[in-house]
Amino acid sequence: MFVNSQNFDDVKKYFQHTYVKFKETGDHIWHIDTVSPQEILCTDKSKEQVGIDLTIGYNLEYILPRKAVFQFGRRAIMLSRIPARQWKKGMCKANTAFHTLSADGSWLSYGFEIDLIEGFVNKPSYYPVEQALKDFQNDLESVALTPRISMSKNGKIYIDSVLVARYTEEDQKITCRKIFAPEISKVFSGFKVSTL
Amino acid sequence: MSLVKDVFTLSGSSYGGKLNNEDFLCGCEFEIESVKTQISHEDIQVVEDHSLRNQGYEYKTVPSTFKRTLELFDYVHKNLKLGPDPFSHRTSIHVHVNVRNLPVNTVRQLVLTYALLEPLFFNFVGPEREHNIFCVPLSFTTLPSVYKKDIVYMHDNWHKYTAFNILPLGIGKNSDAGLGTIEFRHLYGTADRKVFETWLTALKQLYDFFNQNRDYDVTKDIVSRSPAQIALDVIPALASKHGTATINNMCADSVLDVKLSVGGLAK
Repeated sequence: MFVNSQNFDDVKKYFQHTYVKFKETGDHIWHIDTVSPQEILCTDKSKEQVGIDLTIGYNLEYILPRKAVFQFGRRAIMLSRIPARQWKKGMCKANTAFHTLSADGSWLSYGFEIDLIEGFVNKPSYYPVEQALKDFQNDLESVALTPRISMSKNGKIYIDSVLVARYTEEDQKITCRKIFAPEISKVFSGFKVSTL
Repeated sequence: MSLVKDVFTLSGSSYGGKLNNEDFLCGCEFEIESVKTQISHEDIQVVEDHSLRNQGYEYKTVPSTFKRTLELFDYVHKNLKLGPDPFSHRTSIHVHVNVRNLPVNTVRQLVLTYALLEPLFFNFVGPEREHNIFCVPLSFTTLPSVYKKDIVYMHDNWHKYTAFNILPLGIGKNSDAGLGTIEFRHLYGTADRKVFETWLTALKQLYDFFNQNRDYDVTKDIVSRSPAQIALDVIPALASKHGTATINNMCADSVLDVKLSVGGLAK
């Protein structure tokens, strides 16, 4: 969306207090603080405020992602849309929720942070299963294996936030509901998968 | 089997008992901007809509058959005098399909089958609607986590601004009125008769499939048949223009959503 002084009121209505990107600044994520006919004032994760000159005009790109799991540090994070009544088109607390998977397999609500958005938007990362099992011996708490499948340190395997399978370390075996066997077997190839 | 109208305690007195007909019935909301001269019709209510601009109005049709709805669509677009850009990105067409006479379990299966085939509905209306904040795809949300529950629980935990909205089924904490309908909010504002007719045909096919197959269980069907095979049975108006591989690819994610409705392992 090309934004300039002519459509600053649309920018204000749809994007003020949300997170966006500008084509001209690459992968940088910006929080739009205020909008006037002359400029958009926004901050990045360094908290430094900059002005985007609307008399010149810039290409604003907004992200309203679909539900997905991704790796963020030592934990898997799940992002989902909240289809509540609101006007905002950019990502913000009102339309996006984050949850994190703890080592014991609980999904916990997680704060809305610019680092998280950047982690998802720019390079969502995923763990190979073998590496995850190795790193669980250290301080890794949970892993995102695909955009839908995650696993906690204690062997609980989830599709989104639903527990669908378990990994037992002693016999290196996966147990899952039969209906999910095709998806689980694909991710845990090389492991024995038994169904209930 | 408990029907929607009984479970949600809906009144049957409106529209001379017409709503108790099991055949396809729907009510539409046509949003149009830049209206220059107004229309008057006994089956169409004209409502000012503050989400629209430039003399924008909503034209609401009374519950009508498939054929009558198309006639009302034609009436609106033949008689309204419109200025420039009457179908801006703010406008849309919402269709309420009457499901009050279906068993609640059948409606739950209709919801799950819609969820499976949702990508076909969005493919028809285009990517702009998929990213519209007032018709969010179910697959973008956490709503699939309630698919394993019954329809009353689903209804109580639904969000209005999903493209497929079950809140009008009954009066609840999140809804304004109990209409006994499911609202399809996907379609953009248009005067194109062919587009609207194809859309309405797909909604009728979805309803008719469940009216005629009340014991159908999509969670069993997806174990042995592909999304493409199911789509061709349920909504041929939207499925027949695509190849099998394309449909299966489109629905790869939504298959998982529907599988989750059988529930996971005990914690």
